[in-house]
Amino acid sequence: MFKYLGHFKTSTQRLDVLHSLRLSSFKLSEELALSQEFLSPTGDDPGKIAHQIVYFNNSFELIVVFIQKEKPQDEFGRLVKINWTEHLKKPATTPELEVLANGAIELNVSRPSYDYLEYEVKIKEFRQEGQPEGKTFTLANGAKLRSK
Amino acid sequence: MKNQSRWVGKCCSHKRGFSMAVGLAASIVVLLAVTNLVFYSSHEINIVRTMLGIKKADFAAFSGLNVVNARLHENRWYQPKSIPNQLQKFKSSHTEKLAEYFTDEKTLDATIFIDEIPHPKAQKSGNDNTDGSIWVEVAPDKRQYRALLDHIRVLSLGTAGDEKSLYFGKFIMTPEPYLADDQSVGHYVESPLEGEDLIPIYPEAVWDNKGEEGKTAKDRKGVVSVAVSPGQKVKMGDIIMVLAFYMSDGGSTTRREPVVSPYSGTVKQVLVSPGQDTLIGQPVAYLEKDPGNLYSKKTLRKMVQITKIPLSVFQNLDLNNRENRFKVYAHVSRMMLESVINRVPMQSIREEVTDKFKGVNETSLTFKQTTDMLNSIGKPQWGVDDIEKMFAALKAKSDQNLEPDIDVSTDYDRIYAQAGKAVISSLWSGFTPDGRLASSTRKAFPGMAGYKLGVQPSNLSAEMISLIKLVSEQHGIDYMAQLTTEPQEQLKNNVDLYNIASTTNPKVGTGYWEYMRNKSNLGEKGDNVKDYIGKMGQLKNGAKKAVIKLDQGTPWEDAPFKQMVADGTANPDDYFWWPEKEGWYKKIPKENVVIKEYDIPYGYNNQSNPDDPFQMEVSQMMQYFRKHYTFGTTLPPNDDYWAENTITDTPQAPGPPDSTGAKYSGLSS
Repeated sequence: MFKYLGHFKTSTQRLDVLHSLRLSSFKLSEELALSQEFLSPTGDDPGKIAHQIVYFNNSFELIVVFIQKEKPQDEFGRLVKINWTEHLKKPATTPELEVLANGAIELNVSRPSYDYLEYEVKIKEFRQEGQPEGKTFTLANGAKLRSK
Repeated sequence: MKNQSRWVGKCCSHKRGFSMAVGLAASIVVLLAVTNLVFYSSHEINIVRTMLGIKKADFAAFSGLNVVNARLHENRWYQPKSIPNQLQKFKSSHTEKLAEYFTDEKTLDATIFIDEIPHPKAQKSGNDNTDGSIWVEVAPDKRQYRALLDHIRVLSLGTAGDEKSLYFGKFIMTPEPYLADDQSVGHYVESPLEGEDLIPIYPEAVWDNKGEEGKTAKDRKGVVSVAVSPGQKVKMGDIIMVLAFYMSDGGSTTRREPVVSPYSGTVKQVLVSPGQDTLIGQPVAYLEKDPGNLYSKKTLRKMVQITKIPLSVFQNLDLNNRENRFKVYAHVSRMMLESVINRVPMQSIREEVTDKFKGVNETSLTFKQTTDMLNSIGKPQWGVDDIEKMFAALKAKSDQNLEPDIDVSTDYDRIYAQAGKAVISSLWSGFTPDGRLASSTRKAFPGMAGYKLGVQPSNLSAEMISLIKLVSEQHGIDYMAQLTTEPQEQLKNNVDLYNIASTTNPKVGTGYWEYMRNKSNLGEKGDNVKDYIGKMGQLKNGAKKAVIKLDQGTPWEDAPFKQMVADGTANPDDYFWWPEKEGWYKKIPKENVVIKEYDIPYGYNNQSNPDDPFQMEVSQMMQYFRKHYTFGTTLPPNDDYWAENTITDTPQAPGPPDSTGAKYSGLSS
């Protein structure tokens, strides 16, 4: 019974992680759809996969979305967003990162057409050493520029 | 046995008690788990439901915006049907529930809110045309002063259950429609090469020679010859017919008036024939202008500045209240301002950013890697130390319905105007008309544009050339040289300014954009956007017109003139012989020779679809691009209705064109 309770707790934790990812993806796709221009991926090669989304948002601010890790060899990272224009306006301050999802391991982005962008984010459950490997979740979404 | 049974009973009761306790505990744990599961599931379902609701509300709101966009491409359906030449009331705002679009989904709803924004320079009354108000001929001898509509603001509120989503869109139209109207197509733009209905051609008003006042009949002229017939093509300046003046006692004179075609086109009707008389004020012929040579009646219309409004901005606002809607507009205004001001600095690093990230193959980055990479990209400049202060100043000006890119008076305004010019040129270089092209031709469209000058090469009539040469001799001035225009001059160097090819990229190559930019010194920081549009849309000194007034007395035929000289009543030094007219004319004073320069507009001409070419005046297109970034006032109007102030009046009969005497004129282009 306690084993099942443990499973239950794990499942709800998983769902929480997935929720936060889903909400972040929801907000991100909305912002992308209302943005001015996608910069990366460039779309020169529609099949090419990039690992960062770079775009000018609705207010023409330069935004970069990427997986941030403390060290390159780390397994886990965070899906984060940086508003570089905001930093350029106040260069004395440290650039701020907005965390979109924790436990992120991969971000794959493609741009099939000029005004359409697709991305998938992979997150993985964090497990203590010695425990079985955590599950990996993948969430895919897309955004079409609405103002074009 | 009895004891045993008692023991057994005691023993079993003990076991039963333990089992019950365990069972109870297990039940509680299971109940807790189930309760948690139910709670968690319902929580989960609620989250999913909320997200679904937000998405549905979002689509409902966006659908609302699409519906309005499609309807506005037809007309302003919410206004009463416009009845020409009648004073009517037209609404300044409109609210409508789009119930019929969501009949299958009862929880879904979209409400649209529309606010019409007049042109910032619209006036209720005035004597002259302005950028925002113009006099319009609504009937013969009747005209109306009409304000123009700048743009239409649309809010679309989508609801799905308890969830709400609000979208903003700005519907722009160029040329602008009348404010008091139900149309979304632009008002008619008066231009010399426009195709339009029949144009009447009138003989000029009768004038008196100096010293002969009252001797000439003012009410009629005789038709000497007619050079055209219906269906015949004519060019601007061609002589259509020649009329003769009468003396006031009915006697004939040698004075002649050539009636010239004011436009290139086709003669549709000739109302007089040689030997007949024609009354002053009555047309002698009707002409149909060549359609679409440069301009067209097309109106560019588009929903721009599409923005999702954050819930925090509108959640406590009743959008039925106009003042509340203008609070939402204030939010969009600020955002648009940021977008315009950020555009130039951000575009300056665009290529570098793209190149940097193109070369990144890592699947993840550290904070330091990211900031190092972004720091290695050039530092864009906004041109001011306090960007927030600039935003506040520009927004305050815009809120008051002043246009910071036109009413340039501060450094902030200049920065905004520079940013505006960048927006215009960027939109221009990649322009494709909204919803007209297949995606395959859309990419090639900008490169296929051509630019056509509003006048094409034309020569003065032989008669005019002979007169100019005679006057040049009299004054010792080379008037023919003065009449040379820039396109004529450049043509000698094999540079054709009458028709210039497009260029898809304003930054490289040569073409219209480069030529006009270099010629107009567009690097001048002081230029406001209005001047910029003027310089980029028309060619200064594109054509010249010579006007020679012959008001020095009735010319003499050779024999009577020689008799007068012999009699000593005329001094031959005061006269000159005009061989083409076979008459002696009194010498013309210098002030009677006027050479005027004209700035000629360019037309954008794209033949990518030969069956439906896209042609429009360049300055009109630039106004359209300007409307992509400007926002305008955030002060709600005081009026619920437009047009009660529309003035109608009967104009005075026009006087003689621009001289009190006869004139010979000709266009050099």
